[in-house]
Amino acid sequence: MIIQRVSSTSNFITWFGSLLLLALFGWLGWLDYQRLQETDVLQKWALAFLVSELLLLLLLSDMQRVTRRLMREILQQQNTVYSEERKASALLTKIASQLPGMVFQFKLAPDGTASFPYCSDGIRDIYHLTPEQVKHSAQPVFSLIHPDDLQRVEDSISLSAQQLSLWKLDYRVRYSDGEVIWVTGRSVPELQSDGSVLWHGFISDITERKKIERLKDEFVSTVSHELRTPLTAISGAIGLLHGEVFGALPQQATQMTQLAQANVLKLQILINDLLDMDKLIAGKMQFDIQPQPLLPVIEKSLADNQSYARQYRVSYQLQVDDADLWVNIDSMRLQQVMANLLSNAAKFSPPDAAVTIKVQQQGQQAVVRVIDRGPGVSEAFKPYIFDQFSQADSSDIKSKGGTGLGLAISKQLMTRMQGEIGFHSEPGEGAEFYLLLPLISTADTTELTL
Amino acid sequence: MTELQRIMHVEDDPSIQQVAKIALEAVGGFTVHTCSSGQQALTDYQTFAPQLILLDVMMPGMDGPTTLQQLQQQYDLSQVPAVFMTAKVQSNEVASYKALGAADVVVKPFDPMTLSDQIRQIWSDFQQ
Repeated sequence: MIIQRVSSTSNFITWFGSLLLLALFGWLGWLDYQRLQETDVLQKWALAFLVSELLLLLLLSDMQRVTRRLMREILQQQNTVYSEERKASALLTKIASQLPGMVFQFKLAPDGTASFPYCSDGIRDIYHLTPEQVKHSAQPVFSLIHPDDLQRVEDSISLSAQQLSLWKLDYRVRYSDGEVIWVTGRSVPELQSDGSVLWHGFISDITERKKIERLKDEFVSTVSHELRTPLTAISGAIGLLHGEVFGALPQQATQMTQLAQANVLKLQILINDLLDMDKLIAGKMQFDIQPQPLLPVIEKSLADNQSYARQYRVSYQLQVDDADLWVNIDSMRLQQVMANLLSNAAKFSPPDAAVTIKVQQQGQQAVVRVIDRGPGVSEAFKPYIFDQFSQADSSDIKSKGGTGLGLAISKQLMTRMQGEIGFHSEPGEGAEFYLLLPLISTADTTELTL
Repeated sequence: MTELQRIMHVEDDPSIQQVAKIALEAVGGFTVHTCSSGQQALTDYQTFAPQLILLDVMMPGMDGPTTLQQLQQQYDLSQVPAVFMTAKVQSNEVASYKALGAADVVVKPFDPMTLSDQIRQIWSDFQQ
């Protein structure tokens, strides 16, 4: 196109220039001839015309050549870009076709119209649609979303568009034949210069995962019920025997019932811990978080664990530096955390030792310290202390009891109450476990209680 | 204050039935009538005329809360406290059982030696 234009322009210049030169040299020749009246003059001017015409033609052809070369270079460059793009697009298609689920671009225009400008072939598996069907309108996709989940999906998209925050959601898709699948979607929004929002992301089928999750939930709840029922009967029966309801027992029999009772209690704690951990991981544990003074909760924990400490001939010593500290907590859950720390401290203390419990204020936080005089935490165990099923020495399970879940649960519980749990320990020097909880000012509490 | 004597225990597990019966009769001195299902509780209620009902929450067929609901519909339970027995519960669950009309909740596994005291305490709280 451009080359044609260049050659026609140069043709025009050739003709027009030649005519101009002819007229110019003709006129100059005519003037000279009139002045000198000699034909030699005409020859001289004719020669001059031919030379300048030749120069003009040479100049123009050179210009054309340069232009052509430039054009060719530009075209080559363009072709390279096109082929790079083609390669990238082919690569994307190849990769996308191997991904489980679909990858997509989802566009929400300022007028509210939604579309999928790009969509991998995976949409055939997820929505039973083709990329072309949703290129200009996302309506076919939305009409397949389960009616019970549609509002949630729409709300989550508007929120993600408003805040330009990650869109992440599990929802159901219902096909025309009534089959329902679970999918999970995740995508990142970007605001475009025209005011529309463009997401890049993926959607994948998680029906199997949901099935397994449900099975697991059912399993846990069944097991908990099925284990607890016989455990209730066993603990009741042993309790009655041990309580000498049926008459006095020989001394050895009393020892045996005591042993049985202690082990039933261990089983009970294990089942409760397992269920707690499961609920915490699934985010299903409910918290009743209320602003309240910290000290009464700590005092209650000490009182409840007193008898446990006596088994190990250990005493708890409470040292209160700041009595009036208010925190936002679920008192039952904090007592659960304290019970873990207190029982650990008692278990690992030498007989007749004291465990010190300090309640202090540290900046904007309340601190509860539980300090024991036991063997301390070994360097090797320190990194794993808050992991599930971790115990410093597997033989501890036998000698000290416990499930190895206590500290893992405590950590989760503290996190859920916006608090922290940590420890300092030098081997052989005992251990100090501490809890940090953000303080709430008394002004907040009066407002809340009003 | 009326003395608590007659307790109806609704529980599907035979072992727990026995343990609770002994715990309440031999330790607490109460008279216990055991029902193996919610249906039986509905049938036996009138003849036994319990002063207190102890109900297991999870039972096959008719569960504890449904049994209580049915009993409330058929009989006047205003003077008869119902106590649910269930595994370790979250505090909000206790509130939901109380909203159903339960006087209190006894946590399983229970201590057979103190169960009677616990029931007596619930009874005296209810009388007030």
